Amino acid sequence: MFSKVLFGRFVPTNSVIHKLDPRAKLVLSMYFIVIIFFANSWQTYAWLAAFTLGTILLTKVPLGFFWDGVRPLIFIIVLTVILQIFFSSGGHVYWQWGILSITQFGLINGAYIFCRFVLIICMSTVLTLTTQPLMIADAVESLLKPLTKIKVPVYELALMLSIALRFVPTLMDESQKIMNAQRARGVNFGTGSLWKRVKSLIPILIPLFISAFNRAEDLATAMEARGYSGGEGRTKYRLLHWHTADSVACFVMVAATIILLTLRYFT
Amino acid sequence: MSTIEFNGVNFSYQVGTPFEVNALHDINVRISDRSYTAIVGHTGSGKSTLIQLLDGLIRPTTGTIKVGNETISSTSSNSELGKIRSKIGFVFQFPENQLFEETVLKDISFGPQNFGKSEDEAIVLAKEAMQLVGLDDSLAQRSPFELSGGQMRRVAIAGVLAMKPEILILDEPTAGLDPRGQRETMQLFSQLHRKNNINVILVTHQMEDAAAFANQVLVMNDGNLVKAGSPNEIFSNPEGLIGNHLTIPKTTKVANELTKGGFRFDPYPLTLEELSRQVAKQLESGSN
Repeated sequence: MFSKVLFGRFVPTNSVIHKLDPRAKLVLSMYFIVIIFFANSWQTYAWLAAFTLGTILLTKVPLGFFWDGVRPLIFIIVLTVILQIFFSSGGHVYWQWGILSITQFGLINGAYIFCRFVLIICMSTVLTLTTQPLMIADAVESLLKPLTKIKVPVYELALMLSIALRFVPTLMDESQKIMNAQRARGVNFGTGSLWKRVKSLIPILIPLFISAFNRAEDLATAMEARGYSGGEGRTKYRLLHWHTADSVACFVMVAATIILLTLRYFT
Repeated sequence: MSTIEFNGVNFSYQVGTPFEVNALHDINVRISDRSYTAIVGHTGSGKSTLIQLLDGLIRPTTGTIKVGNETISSTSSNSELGKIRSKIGFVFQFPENQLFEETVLKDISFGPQNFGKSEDEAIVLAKEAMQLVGLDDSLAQRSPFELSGGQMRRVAIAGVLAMKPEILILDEPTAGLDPRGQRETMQLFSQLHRKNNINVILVTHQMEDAAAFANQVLVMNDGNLVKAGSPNEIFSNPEGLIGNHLTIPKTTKVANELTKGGFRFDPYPLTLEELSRQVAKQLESGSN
């Protein structure tokens, strides 16, 4: 059941996008999500879709992966689009029943929201498919560095983030194993009343928590034994390098924004 | 009564995704009732997938598995699979990770209760199981998390035995135990096999265990069942094992060296006792 989760799945294809600095990718993908909200017409959405498609093709990752990213969220997307269609008013009214109506603006807004969702999911999938989770953690650490000035424990946060990311797949494997062990002892997951279903989670959750505690204790001991004593005075093994390609990527994004704003305000 | 038959079983993980992995290819094998079967193979050869299929934890992609009168196929419903699971006890690798109840007794009686026993019946079964694995009665009301690693393993195994399975699947039950714990655990399973007529299926990397206890050995490699036969047939042919990334038991190694030096073994010695007995006999008769 967990095998379908796309989170933290990295697909190495050694493309241009893969080689970009993770800081650049993180900032640019967040920036892109913000500028999506500036789009307000067919031309602007068509331009953003073309831009996203271009990025996706550059990653050389099979398109199926992006579909896998959208699929689990399809229910939320469809629900939002339907609500938008039935509850928006304005423009030509095609059909009306009580407070429900299908109007011209409703249809258009529905379509826009659909585009927005798909574009956001695709762009964030580009980030996760082309960047190793540890690199994302490094990027977060490096981007938060300035916050150390106001006493934010950035180093500790980054350490927790990279340990957490590292253990996501391990804990998923572990929960799958515990689940199988309890099924073999006669637990039926996902059947019966709500109360029964909630109760059937206890035999997974307790062992999972206990093994997480044990794991944390072992990990802390192993870290201390290897001379770890906090963030002060440590050097870094993985260094992030800003290359020309990263500057080019930022430049491309600025150009894309200019085209978007031109389409928005001058057509 | 609980003969097991694999008929043309194929299994792939994540069918229909870019990550599809074919883990088992066309498995055909019959495991007779009341036998002790060892499944050997190097890491990733499909052993664990095979035993999970047998317990109905996953469904075959194609083919069928017959367990007694029940059949597992790609279309089996959950309730059918549940019926099969009630006959099978499955001791997972590091089973101490599955403990969760407040007391040892409650944890052991969890399995029987899930399969429809009343609380009182389950407690009687749990107490029997505790005795079987050599856990002292005084531990019954303790929390399983206060126990030592070896004791926790016993509690977990007792939790499986309390369900009175007809078939017992063991996935490396002795991994991480000290030599004495390993010996005692293996002896317990061998005893269950002989006295209670339980059909035992053991997945192991310890060739010595496979040679000493099993009466049928299945050799897996790369998702294929490459060989099935008696320990005699399997271990007297060391090339067949090495070719499948396996080691040969120490006894076999010594026996093979002695054969080169002129000793003749019949039957082929699988345990240290048998080897030394035959060597002693041949030395006495002075045939060399």
